[in-house]
Amino acid sequence: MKLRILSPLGGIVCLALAACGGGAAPASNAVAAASSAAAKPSTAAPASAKPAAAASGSAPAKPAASGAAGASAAAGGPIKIGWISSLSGALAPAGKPMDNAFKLYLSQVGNKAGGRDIQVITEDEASNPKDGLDKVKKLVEQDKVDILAGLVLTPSTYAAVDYIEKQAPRKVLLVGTNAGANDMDTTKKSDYFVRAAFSNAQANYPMGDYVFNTLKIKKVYDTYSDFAAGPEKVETFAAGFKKAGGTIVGTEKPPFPSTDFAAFLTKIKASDAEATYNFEPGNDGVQFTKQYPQFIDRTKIKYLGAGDNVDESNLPAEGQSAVGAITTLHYYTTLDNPENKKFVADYQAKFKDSPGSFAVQGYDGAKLIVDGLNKTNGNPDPKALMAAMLGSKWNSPRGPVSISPEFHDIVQNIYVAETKLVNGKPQNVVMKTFEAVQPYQK
Amino acid sequence: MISAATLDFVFSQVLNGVAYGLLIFLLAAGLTLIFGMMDVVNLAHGSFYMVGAYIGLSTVRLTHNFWLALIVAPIVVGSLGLIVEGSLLRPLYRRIQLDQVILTFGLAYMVSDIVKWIWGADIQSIDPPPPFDGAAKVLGTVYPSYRLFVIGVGTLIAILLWGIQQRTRIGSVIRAGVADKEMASGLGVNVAAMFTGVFVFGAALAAFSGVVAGPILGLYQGMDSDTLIIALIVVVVGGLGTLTGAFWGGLLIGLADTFGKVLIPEFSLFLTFAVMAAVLLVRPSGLFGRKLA
Amino acid sequence: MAQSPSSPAADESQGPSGAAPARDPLSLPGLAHKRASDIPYAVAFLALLVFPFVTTGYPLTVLTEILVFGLFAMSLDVILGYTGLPSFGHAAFFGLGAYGTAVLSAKLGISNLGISLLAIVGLTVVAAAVLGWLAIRTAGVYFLMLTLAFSQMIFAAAQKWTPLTGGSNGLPGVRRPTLFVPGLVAADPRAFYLLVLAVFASSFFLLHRLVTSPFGRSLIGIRENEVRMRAMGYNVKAYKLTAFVIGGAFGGIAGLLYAYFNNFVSPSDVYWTASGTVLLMVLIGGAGTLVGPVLGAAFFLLLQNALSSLTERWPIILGAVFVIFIMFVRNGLVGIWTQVSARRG
Repeated sequence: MKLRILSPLGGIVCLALAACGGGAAPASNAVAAASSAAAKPSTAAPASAKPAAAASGSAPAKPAASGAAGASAAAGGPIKIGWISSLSGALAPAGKPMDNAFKLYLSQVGNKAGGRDIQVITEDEASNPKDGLDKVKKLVEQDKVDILAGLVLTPSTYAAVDYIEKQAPRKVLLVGTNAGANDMDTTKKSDYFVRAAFSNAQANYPMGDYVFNTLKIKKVYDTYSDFAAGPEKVETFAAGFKKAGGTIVGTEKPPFPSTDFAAFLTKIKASDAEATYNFEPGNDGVQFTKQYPQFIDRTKIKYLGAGDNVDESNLPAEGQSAVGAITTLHYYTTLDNPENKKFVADYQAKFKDSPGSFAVQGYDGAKLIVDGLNKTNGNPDPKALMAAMLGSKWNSPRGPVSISPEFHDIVQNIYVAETKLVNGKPQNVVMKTFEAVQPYQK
Repeated sequence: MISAATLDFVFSQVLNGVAYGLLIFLLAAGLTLIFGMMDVVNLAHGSFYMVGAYIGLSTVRLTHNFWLALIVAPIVVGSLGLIVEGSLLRPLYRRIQLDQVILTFGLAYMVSDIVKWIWGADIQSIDPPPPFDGAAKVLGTVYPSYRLFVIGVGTLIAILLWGIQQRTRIGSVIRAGVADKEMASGLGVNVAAMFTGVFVFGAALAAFSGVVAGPILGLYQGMDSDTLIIALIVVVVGGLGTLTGAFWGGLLIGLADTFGKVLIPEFSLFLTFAVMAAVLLVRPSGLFGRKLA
Repeated sequence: MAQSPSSPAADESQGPSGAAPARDPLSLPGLAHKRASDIPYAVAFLALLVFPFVTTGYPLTVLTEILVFGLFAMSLDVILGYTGLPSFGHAAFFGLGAYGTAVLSAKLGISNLGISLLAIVGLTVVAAAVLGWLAIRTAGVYFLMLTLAFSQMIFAAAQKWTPLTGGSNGLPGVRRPTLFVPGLVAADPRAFYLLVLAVFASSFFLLHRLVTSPFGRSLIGIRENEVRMRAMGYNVKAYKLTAFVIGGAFGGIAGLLYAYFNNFVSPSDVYWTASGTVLLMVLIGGAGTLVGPVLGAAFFLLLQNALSSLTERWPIILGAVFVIFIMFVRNGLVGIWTQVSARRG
């Protein structure tokens, strides 16, 4: 039968071709890079089947990273931003506000930066890293975007940065607006990644000392959802707390995701802790916060923790149960500064909802990009853009912020707030500000 | 030797396990009947649960009456189940089960997004209704009263269902249908009507449990698939088609899950699955299920 | 699901592989007068071979992914379509393959294709043998849930065993594979695609031989009527286990390719939704046809990618497509071809 002969033959042919095509090289994808530099600067290409350039054999030279991006700059056409957020799935409550505010800022500057129009191509991360990476690839390879921004998930971000550095046919800058992995400031720092959000440890650095010395709490039971961000936030607090002289009497790590925390709350109730320090994001936070007062007397064991638990996206569902919580975060809706007043008013007018931390991250991400492009006169080349972004300072709704050249991450105020009933609704009322907190501290 | 505090602690955890176990019994009861009776793979079961919870949410928002929600949600979702069964599912009964997988999966996808369209993606919750919104003393232990309410409702429903199944004509007809469809049909039972009835009832029960679970588990994107999985686990552990199985299976899983979190929190993530695997290895058709030939 | 022998399934409603087991499951009936013509396969293969020379860039990326998931779906088809075992945990083997490859490459610096293949096949064969032996004691929905349980336990391991697997953050940094000789890397998209095509084509060939062999027909016999097969003296358990192991091994190979393709593996690749997706691919394409699942993979990936870029409401449309599809199409995508060419021929 033909198949019998054809298939192994075909297999051998393929392997031979693959072997020829693969060079003895570091994994630089020279082929596609050469072709995209030669291609016309693309206007918004619809999902066309075959791009014009047919790549010739293997061009072993390393691609000139600025070449491809320079092509679009030279033409003066629109700058394409590839924007990825989780618009569906479990992270939609975070991804949608981020998306809203990102576009809000761009519309406020007339969708222009550096003298050129801005065109945003939006893709859905769908709350999982595979889709996140798939969309990154699509934006870079098919839509040929000049800049990437967004991504709610940390694994998506790791994968995207790795892709840009090693596999992508063109290099673009990624502006992260959420994933807070600590090591992206240090070991995983990249020339192609800058973060306008936060680092997981950042808000928790000052809390250890604050809880022990200001709140006068000596024994804490900590809890965090069992995934990477959990220990990055809470263990940072614990380290500071112990250094100040406090004792951690126990740690619970509920599986992530969870909906029922009864078993853990019962354990905490039976302990001699004076307070708990908690981090449970999203729906986990809502259920945890709601179930907390059902099991634990809050006057005996106070509720402290990461502001994510009582973020604007969680607070309405938590209602009364959040009252009395003392938390820390880089942004609270109630911040009293002119930029925030305007931001909250604008956001509420357009989206009929209160903006929380995810929204402000999207907003600042957009501003960082626009300001950067203004400085480079519309050149989206990653090296030029990064140089323009590092060291930039501005007044954000979160307060004064700057981008650290050392960490490629945002330096910002950290606030401590207590959740109180204001006009019958729970609100986070700021009671302490730590200024200019670095994203990474030894 | 054993301190009062420890007893208190253990008793609280037992209550936790029983409350959660009865909650998931409610989730699974409708599904096990549909499985056992109709041999239908209903991957949309979580969707009925979710829609029921959200309708309950809206009812509570409009009328501030939780008890009303407990009635409205099952009625609405039951009607939806009627439509689904009649128009979409029934033509597929003759087809292989795997075709039903695709259908119910597609439905689940659609419903999930429709819910998001109507109610938004934000996390929502239902507050426990008075008088169950505080704590109560049970044998000296202070315990959230809403969970006691859940234990009560779960037990009540279990007794009710068992009573219907064992003591009424409808019950015996259903039991006959589960045991042997062709025989029952041959004996003059209107199998088609029974199918519809069981499906609608299953959907309504799922909606009911959505409202009951709302104050504890919350309403969020993805609750449908989370619930489906846990319901499938309980159904399988207990045995297809048996309410007794769903009851004891639910309790087993509930207690195992709770004490897993207490004793071996590192492994609690897959403890539920491990328990299920263990049960199936010893009794391949579940605790009370009949052997599939 | 495994039916009881006297079940109503033995009526007109044919299983997706067609009416009578005597028909060659791989024949495309447009050319029914020839026995199992290979021409369509040859043509398809040539088209796939030529594709990367016509275009590179994003379409090639998509096609590479289709081939990877096509292999994954084929491997499940052996278990589900041919043997009738409803496995809902196939992502376990995919995950073992993907994570095994990722650990070798990203953590140990070993990206040699030969070594990785040997390691992955070894790993998945052992895992599938153990899991299969335990699971085959059950049937139907119980089998379904047991396989789900095992795959969830592997998910839990991926999620929690952070030093090895990277935990919830996953494992980035997987490099493209070196072939045969150190330094010969299938790095650029075209070379890598051809490598994937080679593995895919070889796997298809091997599996094709398997399912058309007497062994393959025995599997179909077990699917159609297990009791009769047992009565005829077949060691049904052994057959099932072998099919499970073979399916698992090829699933692992698909995972290996995926890790190299994606350069990144995360626990969501082993989550039960991944098992559900591949199950859908098999069913939509047409279970028990080997080609069908590949078409199903293409259909699903293309549709989901296109839809999710077009509109935020894509889940509704995707779900509606499935519902409409199943109401009007009986035997999967392959079945459409059958219906069309039957009407013509």
